[in-house]
Amino acid sequence: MDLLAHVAQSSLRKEALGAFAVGDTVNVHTRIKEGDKERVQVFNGTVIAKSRGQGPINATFTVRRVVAGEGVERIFPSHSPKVVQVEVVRKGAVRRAKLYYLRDRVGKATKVKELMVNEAVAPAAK
Amino acid sequence: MAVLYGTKVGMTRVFDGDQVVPVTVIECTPNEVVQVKTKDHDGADALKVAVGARKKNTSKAVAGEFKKAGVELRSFLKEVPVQGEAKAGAKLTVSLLDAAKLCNIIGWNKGRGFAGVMKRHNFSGHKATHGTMGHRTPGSVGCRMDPGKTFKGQRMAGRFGSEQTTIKNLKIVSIDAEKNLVIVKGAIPGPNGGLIAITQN
Repeated sequence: MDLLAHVAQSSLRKEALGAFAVGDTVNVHTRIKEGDKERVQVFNGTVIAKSRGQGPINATFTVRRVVAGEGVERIFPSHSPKVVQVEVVRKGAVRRAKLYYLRDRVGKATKVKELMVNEAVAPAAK
Repeated sequence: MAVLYGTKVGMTRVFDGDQVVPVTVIECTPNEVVQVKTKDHDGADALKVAVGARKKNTSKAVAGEFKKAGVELRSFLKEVPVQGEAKAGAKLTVSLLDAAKLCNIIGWNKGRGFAGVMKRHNFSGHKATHGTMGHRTPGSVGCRMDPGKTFKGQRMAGRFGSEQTTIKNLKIVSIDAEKNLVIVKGAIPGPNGGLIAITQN
């Protein structure tokens, strides 16, 4: 595993994507190519899983959103150069590492409760 | 022609620009020359090289060959064309492949033991239910009175795998001279840790 990690080392992301956790509502900015033009596409949704994969290079995260009543999930490789930025819109209060139960929920129940941080008590958390 | 032996470390991925490249890592610890064969003396010009990590038991006869060349015990002795420095004790390293863009990989694929026709020859098998008695059986192997025999070459169950397999024209993604690594694009035959020969025309 050591040699494999050594080979993949140079492909790892140089700067961290920014802190986001499972349950957060995020905007994922990805670069996409249309013809010979390149633009940034934003995918908005809830992070329902973070996978560590076999070795850091294979780590991914899954973002879920509901479009016109149909659930859409996208799996982003955490170290892909095409993933430019992950912007946290809203923090979620969750008690699990994987939110697969959201797949069985419909309507209002698909919402994750917002995490409220009391800044007077825990200013460091922000 | 360069021939270098190594072991398969495993697969991972690297990013080349925006593209993900699936790669296999091959570790080629320097192949050490044990004997230089000449046309006059041995019938052909070649090098006998020691490859692989040390084996548990080496017979005294074989150990003597290593001792004569002043090379530490390794698990295999292989014959390769004359390349690099032709001298006993010389080391053949990944630098032999420095100029190469493509290479061929010779490996020994995973052994599957005594395998049935479905695994070995991709037969379709039979129904799982509806009163069927044979699910993975081969079925008929011939006709009747005429020709009255099963033709040669009829595909049947048997030993499968552990065969030499060559993959041609694999792209060399990079070479790490410091760690003795050759990184090629795509998959190669054999289990992780298996012996691999890299050849380059």
